Amino acid sequence: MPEPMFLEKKKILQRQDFGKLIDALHQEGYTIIGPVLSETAISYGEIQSETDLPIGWTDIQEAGKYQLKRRPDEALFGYNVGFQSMKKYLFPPRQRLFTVDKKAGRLTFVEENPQIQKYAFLGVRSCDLHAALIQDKIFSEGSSRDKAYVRRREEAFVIVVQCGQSSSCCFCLSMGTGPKAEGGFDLALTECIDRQQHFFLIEIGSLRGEKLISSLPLKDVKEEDLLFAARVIDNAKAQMTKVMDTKGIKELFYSNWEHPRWDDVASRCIACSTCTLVCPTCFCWTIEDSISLTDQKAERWKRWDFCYSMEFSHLPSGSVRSSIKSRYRQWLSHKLASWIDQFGMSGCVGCGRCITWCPVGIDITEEVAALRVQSKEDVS
Amino acid sequence: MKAKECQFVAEPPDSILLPKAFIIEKKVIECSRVVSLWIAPLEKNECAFKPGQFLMVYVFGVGEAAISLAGNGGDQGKYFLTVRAVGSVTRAIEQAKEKDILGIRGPFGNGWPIQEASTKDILLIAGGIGLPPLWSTIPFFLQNRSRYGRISLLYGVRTPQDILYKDKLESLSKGKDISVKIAVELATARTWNGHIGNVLNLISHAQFSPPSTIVFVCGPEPMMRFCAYTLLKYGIAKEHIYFSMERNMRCAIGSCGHCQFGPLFLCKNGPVFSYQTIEPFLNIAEI
Ligand SMILES: Cc1cc2nc3c(=O)[nH]c(=O)nc-3n(C[C@H](O)[C@H](O)[C@H](O)COP(=O)(O)OP(=O)(O)OC[C@H]3O[C@@H](n4cnc5c(N)ncnc54)[C@H](O)[C@@H]3O)c2cc1C
Ligand code: SF4
Ligand code: SF4
Ligand code: FES
Repeated sequence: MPEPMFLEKKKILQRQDFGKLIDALHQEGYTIIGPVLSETAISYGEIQSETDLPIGWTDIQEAGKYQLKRRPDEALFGYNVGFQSMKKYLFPPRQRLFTVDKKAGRLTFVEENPQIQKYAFLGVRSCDLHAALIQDKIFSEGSSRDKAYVRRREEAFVIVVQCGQSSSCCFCLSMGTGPKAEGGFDLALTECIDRQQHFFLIEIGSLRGEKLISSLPLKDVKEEDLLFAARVIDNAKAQMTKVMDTKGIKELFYSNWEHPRWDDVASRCIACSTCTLVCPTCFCWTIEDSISLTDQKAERWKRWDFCYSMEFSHLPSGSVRSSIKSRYRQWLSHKLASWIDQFGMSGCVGCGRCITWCPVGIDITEEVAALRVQSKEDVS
Repeated sequence: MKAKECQFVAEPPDSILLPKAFIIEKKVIECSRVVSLWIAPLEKNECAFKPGQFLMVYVFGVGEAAISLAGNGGDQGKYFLTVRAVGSVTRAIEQAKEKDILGIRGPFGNGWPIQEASTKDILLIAGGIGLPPLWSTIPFFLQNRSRYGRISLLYGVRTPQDILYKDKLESLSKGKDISVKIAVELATARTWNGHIGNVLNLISHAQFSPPSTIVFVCGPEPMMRFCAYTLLKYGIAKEHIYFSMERNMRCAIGSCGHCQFGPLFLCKNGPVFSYQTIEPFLNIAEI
C-alpha cells in the first residue's frame, strides 16, 4: 500500500535500463498489464517485455473518432488513454458467484473462491488511478464490499505514468483528477524524452515500490531532471482544451430533469451502451442464473450490466425507463450528480473515453454546457 | 478530488451473496396466482427480521426475486411470505411444493419506522400485493397495543376474490385493537357487502388525528402517490407518510445499481422512505 512518506522519494531510470523494471516485476511474480498496440487502438494487455509497449506510437482522438499515429520519437508512453482501463482486471466482466448442487431434493450452495491474479499495472494514468479509487468506494466498503475485488486490489502493483500529452477529449483538469497523480500508486514514472536524453523520473509511493526498484541501476535526481519532468506535465496541461464547468453541478441536474436538452440528446443517442462499457467508474452488474442439462447443477454469474438497456429497470409491469431519454438521463445524472450524494464524489474522472468512443460523437461536456442554457435554476 | 491511500477493513465473516437453504414447511393458495409460504432454515438459526424488510428468494436454476417478509407466521423459527406469480421466478415459487428447498438471502432493507409510531394514530394503507409487507407490522402493534393510538388497516383490492389473508382479516376485525376496512374496486352490492371503490375513499372512514398520525403505505406507485396527496390534504406531515418502494433488484446490497431511484439505492437505503425524502423524485417520469 502506498505510504505518504515516500512521496518525496525520487530517482532516475535511464531508458536503456527500462527492461530491468519489467524483469524485476516478473521476478516478484507479477503478471504485467500495460499498453499494447492492437490493430486499431492502444489497448491493455499482458506485457512480456518492453517490445510489447507501443513504442513510437500515439493517437488522435475526437468525439466519435480514434486514430493511431506515428510519433516523431521513440517514446514508450507517448499516447492518450485507450478504451480499456484497470476496471476489466479488478472488476472482471464475468465472474462466477456460486454453484448449487441438487441431490435428493437438497440444495448445497458452494461459494466461488476465485484465484487472485497478482497484477502489476504499468502505465496507469492519473484519471484511471482516480477511477480505481472511486470503484474502491463501492466494492471495498459497507454491505457492497466484494472480497475478491479487495484481494485483487490489495495485490495490484500500480505503476503510474504521468501524462505528457492530452487528447482533445481529456478534461481531467476540470475534474481535479490529473494530469499528475500525487499519490495512491506504488511507483510513478514521468517519461522525459528529447533529442539528447531519454529517461524516467521515478516517484516512489510505497515500501513495496521502493523494494522493487532497489536492484535497478538508478541515479540520483538533479535539479534539471525535475525541471524537465515538470515541463512534461505542463505540456499535458497546455494541450488540454476541453473543460467541464462543475460548479453546482448536482443542483444543475436535480433541477433540470425535464430540460429540453434531454430530448435533443435522446434523438442522437442510439443506446448502444458503449459509453458505460468504456467508462472506468461504471460499476453496475447483473445476475445470470443457469442450470445444467441434467438439472443437477446450477450456477450464478455476476456480469457487467448497462443502464442503457430496457431490461435494466425491468419490473413485471414494464420497464421503468422505456425511453432513451430517460436512460441517457439516468447515465449522465448518475455519473455527474447522484453519485455525489451516494459516494461523496463525482463519478466522472474526465478521461474522455465516453466522448471518443461514442459512435455518434456525443460529448458529455457539451451536454452539461447545454443544460446550463435555459436551466430552470441559475446555478452558475 | 484528491488521491488518497487505499485502506481496506477486515473481511466480513460470510458472503452476503450466497443463499442459504430453506425448506417450504407449508404452502397455501391465497387466491388466483397468489400463494403463501412458511419457510424454515435447514441449518438452525433464528429468523430475525424487522417488519418491512425483504428477502431475496432463489428458485433452483430459475432465478431470484425480492419478496417482502409478511411475518414469521407466529413461529420464531420461520418466515412467512406471500407471492404473486407475475413472471419466471414468482411462477416457479407458485409451483413449488411443500418440502421443496429454496435459497434465501437476507433479510435486507431498513423496514418500517415502528419506533416512531409509538403514541401516534396509525394508518396502514395497502393496495393488492402491498398487504404482506404491512402485515408484518401487525404482531408488533398488537404485542404493545397500549403504546399506540388508534390503528386502522385500509386495504384495497380489485375484486372480492383478490382479498388476501381472508380468515386472518376476519378475526382481526372482530377484535377491538385494529380497525379493518376493505375496499373492492370491481364489485356490485351482490358480490361484496362492504365499501366499493378505491382504497383512498377509506381514508375518510378511518379515525385519526392528523397532527399525530403516522401512515405506512404499500401498493402500486400511482396509488401511493394519490394516497400521499389525499393525506397531505388532511394535514398529515410529509415526514409522517412512509412508502415501501419497488424497483428491479438484483443484489439487494447496494452494489449492482439496478434499484436506483435518483440518488437512493432502494435496497440499501429503503425500501421504506418518508414521502419527504422521495417527493423530489416521485413525480419525475421514468426516473
Ligand atoms: C422490496 C420488494 C419487495 C417485494 N415484495 C413482494 C412480495 O412480498 N410479494 C410479491 O409477490 N412480490 C413482491 N415484490 C415484487 C417481486 O420482486 C417481483 O414481482 C418479482 O421480482 C418478479 O420476478 P419474476 O421473475 O417473477 O418476473 P419477471 O417479470 O419474469 O422478471 C424477470 C427478472 O427481472 C427481475 N425482476 C423483475 N422485477 C423485479 C423486482 N421488482 N425486484 C427484483 N427483481 C425483479 C427478476 O430477477 C426476474 O428474474 C417485491 C419487490 C420488491 C422490490
Ligand atoms: S463519464 Fe466519460 S469522461 Fe467521465 S470517467 Fe466515464 S468515460 Fe471518462
Ligand atoms: S451516449 Fe453514445 S456511447 Fe453512450 S449509449 Fe448513447 S450512443 Fe452509445
Ligand atoms: S438491488 Fe443492487 S443496488 Fe439495490
